[in-house]
Amino acid sequence: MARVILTRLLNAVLAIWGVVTIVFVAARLLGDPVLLMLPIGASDADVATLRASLGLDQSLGAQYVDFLRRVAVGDFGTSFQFQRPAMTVVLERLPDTMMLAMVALVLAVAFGLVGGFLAARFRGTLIEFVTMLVALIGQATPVFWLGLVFILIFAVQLRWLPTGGTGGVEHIILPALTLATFTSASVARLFRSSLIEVLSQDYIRTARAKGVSTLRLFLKHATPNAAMPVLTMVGILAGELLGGAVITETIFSWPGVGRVIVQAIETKDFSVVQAGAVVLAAIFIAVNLIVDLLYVTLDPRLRA
Amino acid sequence: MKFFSALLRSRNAVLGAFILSVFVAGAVLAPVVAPMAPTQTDLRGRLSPPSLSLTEIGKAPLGRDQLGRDVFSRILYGSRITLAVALASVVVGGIVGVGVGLYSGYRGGLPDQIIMRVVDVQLAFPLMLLALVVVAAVGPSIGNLIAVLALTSWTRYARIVRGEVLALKHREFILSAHTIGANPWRIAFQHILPNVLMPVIVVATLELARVIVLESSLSFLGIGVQPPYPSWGRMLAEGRSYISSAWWLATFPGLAIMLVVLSVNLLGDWLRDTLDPRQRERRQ
Amino acid sequence: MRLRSFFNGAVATAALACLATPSLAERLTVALSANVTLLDPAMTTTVGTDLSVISHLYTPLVIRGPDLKLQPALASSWEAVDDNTWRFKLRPDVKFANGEPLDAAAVKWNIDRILDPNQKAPVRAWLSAIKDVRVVDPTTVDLVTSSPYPSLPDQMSMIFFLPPVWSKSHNPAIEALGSGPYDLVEFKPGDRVVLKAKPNYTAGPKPAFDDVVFRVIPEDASRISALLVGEVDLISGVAPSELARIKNSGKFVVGAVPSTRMQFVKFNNLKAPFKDNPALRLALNYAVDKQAILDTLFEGYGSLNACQPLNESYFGFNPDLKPFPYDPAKAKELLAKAGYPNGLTIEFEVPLGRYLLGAEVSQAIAAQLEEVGVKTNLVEMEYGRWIDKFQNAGNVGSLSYLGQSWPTLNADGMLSLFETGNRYSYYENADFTRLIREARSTTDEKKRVEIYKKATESFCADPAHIVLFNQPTTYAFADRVKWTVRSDDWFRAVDVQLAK
Repeated sequence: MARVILTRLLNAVLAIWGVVTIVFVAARLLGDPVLLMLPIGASDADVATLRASLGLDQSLGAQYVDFLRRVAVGDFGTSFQFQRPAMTVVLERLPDTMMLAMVALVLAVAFGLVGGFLAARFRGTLIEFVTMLVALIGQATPVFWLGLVFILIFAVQLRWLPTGGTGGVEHIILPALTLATFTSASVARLFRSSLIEVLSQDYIRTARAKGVSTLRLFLKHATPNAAMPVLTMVGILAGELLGGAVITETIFSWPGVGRVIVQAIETKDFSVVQAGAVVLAAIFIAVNLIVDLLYVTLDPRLRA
Repeated sequence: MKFFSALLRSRNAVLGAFILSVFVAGAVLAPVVAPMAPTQTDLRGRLSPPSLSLTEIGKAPLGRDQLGRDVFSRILYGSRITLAVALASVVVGGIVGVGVGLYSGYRGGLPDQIIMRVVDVQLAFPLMLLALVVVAAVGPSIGNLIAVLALTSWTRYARIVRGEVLALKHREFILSAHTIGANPWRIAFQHILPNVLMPVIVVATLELARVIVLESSLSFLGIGVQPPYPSWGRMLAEGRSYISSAWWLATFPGLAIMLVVLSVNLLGDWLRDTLDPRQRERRQ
Repeated sequence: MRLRSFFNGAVATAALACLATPSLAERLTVALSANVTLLDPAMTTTVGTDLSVISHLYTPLVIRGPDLKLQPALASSWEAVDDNTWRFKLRPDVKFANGEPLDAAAVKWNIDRILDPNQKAPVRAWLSAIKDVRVVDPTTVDLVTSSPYPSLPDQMSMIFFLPPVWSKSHNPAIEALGSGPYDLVEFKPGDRVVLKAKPNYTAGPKPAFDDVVFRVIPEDASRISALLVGEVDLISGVAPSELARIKNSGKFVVGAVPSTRMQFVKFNNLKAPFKDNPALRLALNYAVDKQAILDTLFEGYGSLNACQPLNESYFGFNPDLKPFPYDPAKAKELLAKAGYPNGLTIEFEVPLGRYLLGAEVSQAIAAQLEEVGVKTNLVEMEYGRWIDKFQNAGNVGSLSYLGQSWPTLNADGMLSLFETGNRYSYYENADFTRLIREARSTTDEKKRVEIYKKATESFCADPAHIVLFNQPTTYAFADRVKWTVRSDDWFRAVDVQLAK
């Protein structure tokens, strides 16, 4: 067990190093930030001065070594755009990002499990057809379109909820629903097929033969086993909900990490792109580590 | 023959195949069916609403867009670009992913370890940001768009194929091929590849659906297909500013995306149920 | 059922929150389309967001009113004492909230800070002509420039002053201790900035609103929705086609004012096919139906540019020039003369998300060019990537859709964008360049107007780009307020009053 955890941790560190390196190279490919920082009309001398003072006149190798050394102690540099440590700029947005991702994850898993359960329980009926159709449509709807339609319906027409921004609980409902739609559809489809698979197995047949009621059979015997693949999926979903929230954040004016990274890409604010990508990757890796460990603890076969 | 009779037995699959063939037919016949060229603008007629009287010449059945272009014609031509981009990226991602998965699973050892770490990195890297950074660095074009979409998808094939190869590697027919001294590449391609093809096809259909939706997201972020050529994702992204004053701009391409993704998913589900031997065994 | 009651609950909480705020305090909520990144006036050149918020917190020497005329602010008067020296007389009573005086020494400290290379201040480029700041007495400061700088007072309307002592122990990027009409209450990056009026502010007009909230709403459609439901009071940069709908949906005032931003399609005159081909440059100017674009895409808002990169609000505007007429036949004729009787194909780069209807306008222009035989390959790119090609790599596409303005509204600055030798001018017109350099050598306004007249004529005879129009600044606001909309990018709460 300890060995498994150690290997996983080592792999996690390797993955973060890979992310750091890719993001360093990609950020350099983005081009020169100096011209964006200066107003149009700046002289060549102004450009050269600023470039030198940012260390951008050094060789790429030297910049990389310097960068790794500082990242190792948690220093991602100063964002020239925000005039503050890049890590601070990212971390101050993390609570909002995490909140949105978590609410969305809960909604997605809840809707997904209920939908998948209904479809499997009422297999071959209209209920299965409708739930699965809704799930397929959920997977086929571009998220920005859905978000705008939600705003038009629930904020503009019905006036139930605000159009965006942060504040009370009411602000998180629409963005979380928007973000959760695609994911809950995936969960529903996965849970349905894994329930059906479990139900065809021998021990369920035996239980059924013994006269265990259908509902009890579903809830007590089939669901815990069928939920295991969903648990694995949650790890992957966490990444989608964290990093894939850019569009939802934009539509609902949600001040998340995704938006600040996109803004940093546009302005070539390397340090924020680097800090942001590393933070998101680290969370993703941590979540998956936890899921792996949970899996080992929960799965009776693996425990034995 | 057996394949087709199985197809016909499944209601969902028939529906999926029907919708998809309508769109493929639309793409092929676009020059014949489309009332206007997809890039022909008419500023004075911009944002005119859909008109159902098809007989009137010059009327647009699905309305005109913000530059007065015919939405119906753009959806027809757009299906060419949307479907071609999606297919190309699924094929590219699939070939790369299958190749890497075969090599990684069959070779094992250090190369396998390295490849799996690369897959980890890729999975941990937020996909949308990866796409943005790549396009911001190399510039937008259809080729780069396909490359970015393929880049987000190869890991899914690689993981599945590697898993299947690991499971197959120690089966008797592979081991016996080994003992008679067959070339490892020959073994990989002749004996292993056919056996992993089924799960790959299933993944590919699901990826096709995912990629079509993703393309619209990239258009929202401004890194989709370049104008004036229409793709559904781009039409939808451009139309979103007019969502309350000219609903037809975003609604019809959105519907097209929805229908195609729906049909591909229906076919994919059916394929999985039919082709995946494990599932098939269980049903019997 | 449970879901329903939850929604009702949410509405009830929102209603309670409204009741809880004292009804005496008037709140103004403004939607911004881009993020407010920081509040340090030396470290940002973004007028529409950062500097506009900063202008509520700090005081400049002079300020531009909604009529675009310079008004006294910290400086009560100013004059050129010689060709290279501007003298500003300061008001004696202006203090920061902690009691620090905003006097000549504080002005000197701030300008020195901006000019210090270690500060890496982006606004340094605006002031790089300043050689020395001399404190004559606590209420008199001299700005000495290395060469005559007639538009320095205009430039100083964009420079704000921090309290020197306070700044030593605080980070002005996220904190503020100002001398302006408002205090900073909350700054949540990416979300909002909340300001509260100073109770005892006397250094300028008394603001009508006790609370001002800036909310960042990047998506256009969401911004309109926020206005419609009353979450924000005013928005700008609205797609013209949406204005009528907003007006029809109730209590809103909509419209547009001409902006100071000139839109055009820039030629890369340094490479083929535009290099040394004036006939081709003229041909394209006749090929575009600018008025049709304004009439349709802009719903009639906006005005054509008169064959020069200036409009009426700029000093040095030439009122005698007329826009190129739309004449496709003449365009074809000129194309043949330029050596392309069968047309040609060129690339057309469009930076994204920068200009009102940028994607639509460039596609409309591309379609019109195609009608006379000029085929274009449109390439939309993220602004950062485009500006990199434009300013750094020197290989911008043959055509680019671009809008430029000069914040001091002076021909000197605006025309310098086309001066041969500048990295971003892509234009070789020796006559024109000689004239604008000549204008710079004198502070005599009459003489400068004469020279700019000749310079703009020279520009019109051989245009650096397809001259288009002024991008209109579109706006919409709730009719409970009255907003005097400005044609430059600034937003100031003092321009807004309560209606009635």
